[in-house]
Amino acid sequence: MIRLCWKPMRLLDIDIPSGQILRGEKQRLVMPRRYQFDWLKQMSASGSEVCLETAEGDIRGDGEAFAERVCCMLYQRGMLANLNLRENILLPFLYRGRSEEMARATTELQLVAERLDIADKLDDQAGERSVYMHALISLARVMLLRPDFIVVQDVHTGMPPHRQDIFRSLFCDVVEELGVGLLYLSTSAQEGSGLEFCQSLEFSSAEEIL
Amino acid sequence: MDMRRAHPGYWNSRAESIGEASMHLLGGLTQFYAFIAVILRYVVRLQWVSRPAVMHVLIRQIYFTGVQSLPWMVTMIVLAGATAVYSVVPFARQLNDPSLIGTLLNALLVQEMVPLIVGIFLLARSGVAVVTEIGHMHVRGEDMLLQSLGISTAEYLFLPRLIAFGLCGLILTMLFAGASVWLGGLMLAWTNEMNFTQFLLEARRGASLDGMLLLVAKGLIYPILGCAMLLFQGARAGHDPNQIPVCTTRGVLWGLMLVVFVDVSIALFRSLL
Repeated sequence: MIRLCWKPMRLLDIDIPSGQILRGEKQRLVMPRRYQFDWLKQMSASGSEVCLETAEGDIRGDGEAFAERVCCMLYQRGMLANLNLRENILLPFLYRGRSEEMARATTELQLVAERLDIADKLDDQAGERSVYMHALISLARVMLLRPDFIVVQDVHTGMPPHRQDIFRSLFCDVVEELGVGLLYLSTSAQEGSGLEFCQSLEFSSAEEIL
Repeated sequence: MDMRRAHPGYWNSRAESIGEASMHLLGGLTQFYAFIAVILRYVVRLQWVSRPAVMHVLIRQIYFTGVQSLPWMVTMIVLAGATAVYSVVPFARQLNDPSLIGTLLNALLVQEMVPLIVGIFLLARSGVAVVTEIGHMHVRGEDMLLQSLGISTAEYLFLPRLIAFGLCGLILTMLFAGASVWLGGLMLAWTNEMNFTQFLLEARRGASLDGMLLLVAKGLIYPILGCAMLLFQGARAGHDPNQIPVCTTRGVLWGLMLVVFVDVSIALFRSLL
């Protein structure tokens, strides 16, 4: 059984208890955005407190192997501005440089792009894009990477309502199809993801930065 | 006498501020060393060769730093290089020593002037672009995206730029030196100052293997050091957009200081030998 686990963590001025998610489970941590960033930073920092427990052994959050099985979808951080959309989606494959994986991803990309309605935009420079487009590119990457877990950081917020509806539907379908475990970091319990969480924990700080 | 200076507290505070500045400088140097060590570790591992994403960045950076700067380089060769060569001959004639032509070309133009000009040019043109780009990437949080994808920023962002600077610096330095001598010789022949073949013979007489090796070493080291400093400063921009111009200015100035410091160190070391 694969599990995404984390030890107790100190995020700025609040303490997060240890936790775990099984594959197929959905859990939500509600906390202000700067705590979310700190959580993500600590997850991929060296000596990470987050790890993936697998039958082959534990994989710590600071390595390339962890990123292959745990995919992140970050709020308005789905793309590098100086690459085009195709390169952005294929970036993890281009970095690893494994030819079989690369060939599979390139073949599947067209189908994924058509499903997300971005097929005609793949060769456009990323530059400055909307929250919706950042979220779509992150989702396209998840669909190609097929991870065991997804860590989502508030990707549903800040979209126009009709875009949010489209994205919510696409996102729920992909999560169900892949059967992944999901950790949702959100600023609000009404984050608009449309997911049913098995557990939702709320953390608040002593001082909010507006 | 100034009463403030007579007070022991005045000198204590002065000593304290000097000490703080020295510690700050040492801390910065240590961080810079650690920064370069991480990149060098990735260079030696050679995994970047089999990573298409890193190679794409490398090719783009070579195109921007090397190919797109060629018109500027040609202008500088004509305005600075060839003119410097052209001025050496009348000077040697005045001293009635034609052998000075080769010696001066080798010692001044090839070994000293060309690597410095190319190093400063790369700092001013491509260096500013690099530090601004890296700074903006940090401000937009793209470093966090890369980390979340398991991509090392040192390998994906810094290493290809450093290699591109070294490679382009070396090629542009050799091009600058060679083209300046040839163009200077042609200008001398055109103005009937000196026969072209005779000029080339004199230039060849002054050239040495040591001089060429020094040119290669300087052509490689100066752009790499300058680029490393620019990347280091760019990575320190954090998530504050206001820091980008500060880091750009600091990167260019410190890069320039580093190049001059190494140039002086090499000159001192050679004079001691």
